[in-house]
Amino acid sequence: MKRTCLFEPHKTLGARLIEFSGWEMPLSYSGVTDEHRTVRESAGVFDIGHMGRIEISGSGSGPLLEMLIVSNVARMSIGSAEYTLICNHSAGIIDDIIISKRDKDRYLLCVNAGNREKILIWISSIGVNFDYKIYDLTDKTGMIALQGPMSRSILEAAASRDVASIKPWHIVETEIDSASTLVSMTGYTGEIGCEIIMNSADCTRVWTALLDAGRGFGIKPCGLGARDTLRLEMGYSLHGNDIDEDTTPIEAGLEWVVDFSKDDFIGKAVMLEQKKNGAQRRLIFFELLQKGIPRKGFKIFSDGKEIGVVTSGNISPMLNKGIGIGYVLPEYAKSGLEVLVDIRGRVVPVVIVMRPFYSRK
Amino acid sequence: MNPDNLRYHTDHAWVRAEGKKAIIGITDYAQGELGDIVYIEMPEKDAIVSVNQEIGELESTKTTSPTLAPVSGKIIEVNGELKDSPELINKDPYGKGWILAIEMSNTKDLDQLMDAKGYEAFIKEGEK
Repeated sequence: MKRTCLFEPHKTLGARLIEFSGWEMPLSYSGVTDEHRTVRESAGVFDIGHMGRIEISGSGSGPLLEMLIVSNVARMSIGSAEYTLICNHSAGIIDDIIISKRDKDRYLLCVNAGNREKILIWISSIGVNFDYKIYDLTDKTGMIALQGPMSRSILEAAASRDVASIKPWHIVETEIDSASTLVSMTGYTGEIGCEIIMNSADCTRVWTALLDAGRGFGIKPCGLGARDTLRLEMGYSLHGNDIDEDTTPIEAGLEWVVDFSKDDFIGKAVMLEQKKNGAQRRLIFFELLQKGIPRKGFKIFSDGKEIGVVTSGNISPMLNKGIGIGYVLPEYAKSGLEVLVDIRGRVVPVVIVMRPFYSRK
Repeated sequence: MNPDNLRYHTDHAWVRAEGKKAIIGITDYAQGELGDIVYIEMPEKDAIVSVNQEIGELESTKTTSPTLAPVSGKIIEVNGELKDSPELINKDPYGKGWILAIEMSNTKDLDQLMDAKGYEAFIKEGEK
């Protein structure tokens, strides 16, 4: 199993470790629910070094990316970041990523750990006729997410430059405890926050500096368990669960990411066809009306027939009820509609809702 | 860490015998592996169960885990507090986090269970 540059601090902090996409990662430290609430109420730090970091540069990088991703690369300004998708020719989602424009003809892609190798191969096959360079930074760098309402204050205390004015979805360079870092105002929790990239050798220093700066704010180290419940509570898709190469952006409710005004990009034809004629299934968010927890693979029923399947589910620590994501036949994808989920033989009513499940009052 | 006065099942349940009554919970190791327990499906009182029969389900933020009966008999009590506070299992697995009590049909079932030392060795073996 691969380990990030923060493996030793995790052991010292008493993290419970699990295997995730070939990496030995912290699942939790003080407990998933405690970490989850800490991120909603103050701030948490996560080791996300397993995520892939790929730099693409050169005069052909823009045009190549324009083909590769579904959103508009040409319209990105230097220093901005966006959530976007890489799809295959059948519009299946190869990965959902964050793209940042670092400079003219220089981009950073942050991809899911389990999809990195696949994406490198995909880019090399699509990129044959483009003049570009690709550089996989993953093994030479680390990545830390700092998330929560107090994350700004903590970053301001830890960073060398003024970070108060940096807007969400922007990326800047700054130093943290004299280590050069790249700070991106992005995240996967629904809270304000940032994701920080630094050289592997500086990881522990930055991690420690953030924990020290955050002590008075109640910061806690958080694992992949809380990362999953936090993203689920916001209704963010997880690649491998809610989206994969067999689901399209139209089916997954991610049409808003797609810029159909672009000349061409991979998967456009199929997406246009689905947009026009309708998809075979639609992603839904649902809340349980009784106690219980929906899990991936559970079947969804209505009118006495099977209409879909659960792709993610857990308890919402903030709402204290079971919540889930799944796919149903398009005619059932209506907010407010009640359907049934089979929880190991117990049929539980659920109501279809809009995301996010939780938002601060 | 595992109390000496208890008997332990290979499925990580503990049993405290008081005459024919067996009070049952899950071990500290088991609650740690499960993570935050957020929901428990309780068995019916008066149900007759036999060894290794599924008697309930524990749901954590991480996974779902069935609870197996470590002894045979009749369920005479269930811990009602767990319905609203399943986290008691995490906080106090050998005390307030007890799950249910069974009136044993045969106290010899206890002989099939491990003592604290045996259980600790069993966990170590499993972690290799």
